[in-house]
Amino acid sequence: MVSLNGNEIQRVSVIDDDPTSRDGYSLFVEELAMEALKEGGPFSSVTQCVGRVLASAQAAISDFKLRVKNYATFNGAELVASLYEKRVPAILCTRFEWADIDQIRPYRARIPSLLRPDELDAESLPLALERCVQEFRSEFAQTRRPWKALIRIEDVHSEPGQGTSIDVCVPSWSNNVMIRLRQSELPAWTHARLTQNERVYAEVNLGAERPEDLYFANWSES
Amino acid sequence: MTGDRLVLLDVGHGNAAVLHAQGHVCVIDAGPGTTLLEYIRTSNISSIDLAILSHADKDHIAGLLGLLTAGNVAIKRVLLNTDSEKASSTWADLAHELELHWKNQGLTFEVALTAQQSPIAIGTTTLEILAPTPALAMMGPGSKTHNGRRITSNTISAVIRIVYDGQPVSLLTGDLDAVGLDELLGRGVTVTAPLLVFPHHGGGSGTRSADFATRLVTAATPTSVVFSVGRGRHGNPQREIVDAVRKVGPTTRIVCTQLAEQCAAELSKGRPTHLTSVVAHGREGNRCCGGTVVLRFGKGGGLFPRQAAHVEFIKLKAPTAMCQ
Repeated sequence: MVSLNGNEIQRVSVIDDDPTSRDGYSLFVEELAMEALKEGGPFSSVTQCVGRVLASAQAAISDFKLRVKNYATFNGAELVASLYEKRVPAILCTRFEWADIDQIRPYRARIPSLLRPDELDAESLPLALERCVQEFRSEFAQTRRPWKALIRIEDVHSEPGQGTSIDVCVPSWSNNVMIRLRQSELPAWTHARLTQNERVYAEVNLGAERPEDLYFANWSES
Repeated sequence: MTGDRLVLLDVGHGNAAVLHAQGHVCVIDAGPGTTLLEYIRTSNISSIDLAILSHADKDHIAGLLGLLTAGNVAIKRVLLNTDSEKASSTWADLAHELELHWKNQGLTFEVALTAQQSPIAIGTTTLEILAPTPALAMMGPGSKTHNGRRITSNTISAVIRIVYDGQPVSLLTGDLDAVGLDELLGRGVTVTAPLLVFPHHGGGSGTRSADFATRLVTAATPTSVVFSVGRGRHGNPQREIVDAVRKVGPTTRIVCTQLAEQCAAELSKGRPTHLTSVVAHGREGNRCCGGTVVLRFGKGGGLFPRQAAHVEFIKLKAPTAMCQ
């Protein structure tokens, strides 16, 4: 059992537009002698959903794609990140694709546990929640600890309807992997600096093993 | 662990050594990833007196870029060599960052890491720079030696002998290749040391590997040889190199930082108990063999992990171990 502020987690909200998935995740929760609260929605805002979780549970599991069939007006990354700010441990559990990662990454600093559905079970669930609780105490796993790092701009491109995207390289992490970021998600001061081969800085979890786990925060010029 | 010591970090495929000498800290090579950063953090090191980069390959330099930008440790002096052939963006990023620290933070940044350097004293520990010669460094990668052999980044790897209290304790060789070794041994330089960190992670040396290993180990006469390998990367150490080391010194202890696939096709699940407590890249995924290796100097010193426990691990977990 995972504890939060000295209290055992007893109830876990399960947030997914698909009832079958809600049932599946709930089985793991119940296997750990916790109560699963299957949230049927709909949710009109993140604030409303966070309020619902805060009122009834001490942790949450959420799918990423919540806008299906008007289940919610936001995605699961926004929700899990908002719960993180309220110190509620939450797992983002989704069958993500690369396009999803671009949407998840802006929130990734506040999503300690991103799992694929086949990775979630009664063994991984408490570990994933524990990882959140540890971060609330500023105890980071090596794969999650932020380090100020040099960011090299590799390419800047605009696509109709998509806005401007930036391909960056984090040489202290890998010199061979480009990470795509949306300009709109970076601080306004960076926009003038975002030209090819320019160097800026950000906090990055350099111990991440997979590109999808990298996050960027606290951008700076020097 | 405390006291004067040399810590050979398991950074996966790459090199990173930290020398502790009477409260001073010297980093020799800085492999990639966060292991070096984590080591500096968990050891509460706030200042690095000297950082030396043996040569310009990414698996020896990327960690210094991380240290410079992380900002949690002050680096006072950096010693390295030029490498105009090294067009990697990491090398350019490092130059950018070193220049900034030189301009703004008082970093002493010297591009002159050759055998001409006077021995560098750190307390009672001394670093002897045995190679490259000034001429070899001056010619540089991309050019040729006087007898027409190609000089690469590896050829001009700095070879550093660490001497403690007047006695050699370790020889660090970067990625020294056959051309560099011929030049080194041809000068009649004394390279003996009880602990040899084998060049190029036990990989190809630009010539017949067994012959290269034989000549190096015959000259250095080590009692222990460390291979800084990343499991699944480049198939290191090469079997013919391990065999050659064993042939020259049948009782020589061999320590690989990570468990080579040639030694164990599968990784076991149980937590190893023989490893030092020092951070190691392979610890999380159970990829360590020797893990991070610590050589403690002076009385009560020795090489950690201890041989008996390490050999026991190898017998249990590495059914096709090359070193046994």
